[in-house]
Amino acid sequence: MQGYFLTLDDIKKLVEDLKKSYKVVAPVKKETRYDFAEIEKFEDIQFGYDTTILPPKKFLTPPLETLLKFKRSKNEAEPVFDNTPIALFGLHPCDIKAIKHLDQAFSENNNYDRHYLNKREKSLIIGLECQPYDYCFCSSVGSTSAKDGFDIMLVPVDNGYLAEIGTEKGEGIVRKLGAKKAEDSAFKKAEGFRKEKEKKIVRKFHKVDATTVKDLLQKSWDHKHWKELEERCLACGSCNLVCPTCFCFDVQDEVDLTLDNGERKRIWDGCMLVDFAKVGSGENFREHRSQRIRHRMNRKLNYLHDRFSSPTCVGCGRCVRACTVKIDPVEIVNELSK
Amino acid sequence: MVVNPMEKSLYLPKLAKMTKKERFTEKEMFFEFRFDDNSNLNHRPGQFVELSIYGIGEAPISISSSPTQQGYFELCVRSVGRVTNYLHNMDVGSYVGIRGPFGNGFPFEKFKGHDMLFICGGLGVAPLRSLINYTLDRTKRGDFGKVYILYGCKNNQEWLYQKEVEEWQRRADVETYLTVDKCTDSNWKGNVGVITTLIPKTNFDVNKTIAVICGPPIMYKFVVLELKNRNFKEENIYMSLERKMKCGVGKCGHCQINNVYVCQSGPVFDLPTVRKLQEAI
Repeated sequence: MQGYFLTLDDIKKLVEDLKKSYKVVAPVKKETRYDFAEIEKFEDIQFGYDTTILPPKKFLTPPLETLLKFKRSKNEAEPVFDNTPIALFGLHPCDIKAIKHLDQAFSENNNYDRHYLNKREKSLIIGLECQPYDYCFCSSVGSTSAKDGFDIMLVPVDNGYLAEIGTEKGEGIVRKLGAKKAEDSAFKKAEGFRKEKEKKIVRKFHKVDATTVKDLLQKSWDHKHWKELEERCLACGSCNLVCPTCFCFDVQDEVDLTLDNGERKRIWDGCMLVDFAKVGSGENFREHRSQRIRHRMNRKLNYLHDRFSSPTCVGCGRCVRACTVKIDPVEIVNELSK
Repeated sequence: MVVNPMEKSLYLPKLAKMTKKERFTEKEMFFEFRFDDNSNLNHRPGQFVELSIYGIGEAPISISSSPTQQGYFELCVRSVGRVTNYLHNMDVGSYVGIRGPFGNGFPFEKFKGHDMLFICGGLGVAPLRSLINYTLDRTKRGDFGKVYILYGCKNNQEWLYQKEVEEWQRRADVETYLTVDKCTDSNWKGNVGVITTLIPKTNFDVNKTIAVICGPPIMYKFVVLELKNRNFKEENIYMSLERKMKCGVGKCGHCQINNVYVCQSGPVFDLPTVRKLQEAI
């Protein structure tokens, strides 16, 4: 892998350059926590953030996104694409992996969702190596470090950062800074950083790993634990909301006061919500919370595995933190494998 | 990431004009639609469309006409939600948006040379009518052997496609068996009981018959049991499954059954596949 050595001043220059042609989004302070937001100045960026409240998906597949604009009286409609180039700065490896899954989801089956892909193709991803925090379990799902999915990946080394290059676009940006190629010692330091990090991740699947967890889920269809979880889960959908790989959506039409002009929008939806699988006739194919939790866990750890070549859960821990009753995928997996 | 240069939205419908409308029952209506450019929908029996009305929304509706009927397509729609209620009140000549056809449809190429057993419960006759009329089309009739149609509905007021059902009954090359769940009408002289009660009365040859099932979710398990009692081979049993299908293109996640999206891998599945999907029936 190609790499360059960057000082914090270099990165500041890089971000300021990016601001000329991109909407630059980075982790910023939000009350007691952190969130991804468009930054005004470089100093807003929180390099040592643990994780953000919402994942960066909100910039690529927004909570409310206009798909079409229509005029009812004329039966006219036209698609709406937001082609603003976005630079996502400071993404941790888990969030980078999550965006790879979104890329797969929005282009699989030869159905290319241009509303997502247009934004994505124009976007730039600059990753930032992280320190584990209380809720992480990335090592169990194989997303502790990112080998691809980024344009540039920053790894803290002595007095600066190793900028690993993921794409030509990334390399062009770093070269423009006049940065010098990183020496072998920087790569060694980066490797050491990652090893140390991996050691600090204490929340783990006990008996399965990223490749075998799907088999565990397949075997556990009738496990009594699903019923036990039903007693706790409030079916609020918070886990869906904060999940970096939850991309399911509902579509709704909105009209303005003339009742003539309107927009067709997609809105984040969640498989934990009671109506998610309910059809017009009133039949609900996943009426019980136990069925919905089982569905969600399977979707994150089993169902999409074959198509996406890994679990779709990236172990960011946001769902555990957001859950009012602290339902935790690590505990679920360990209970199922007991 | 796969880059596709086409600047196209998967969600932009094509306009179709309502050219016929007929009330079947209190809840169900029949509609014929045509595209202004006279193009065909180019569907397979068993596929569905997303029908949309700007400002109201979009709903998945199975296609009820056979692809051998050229220049137009037909839908039979029950009013159960915003889109379908609105559609029922629209006039002939109005336009709706159509996306699709979506889904796999029936693998009718594989059915060639077989006898066909259609088992339709209630509104399930709508998608099956597409395949029935395809099978009975004079250009295709020779591809298939005997045709058996079992059709059941709640009571004598609920029949859909009544005139066509009468035609099926008159045809010498079709055996049609009807049943009502409850007899509320003294004029009804036929069978009373759920659809499964018709299966023992039908004299099909299990060695050369394909069974195709569509009906309310509760129906499938019992129909399959009854067919198994007659030693039907699992691989000769096909069914079309209903799920919430918001996007039709494998993105929105609503129609998922275990690891498959019904809008992509379905809505038609054979029984061996359904057996592997714990949530299917």
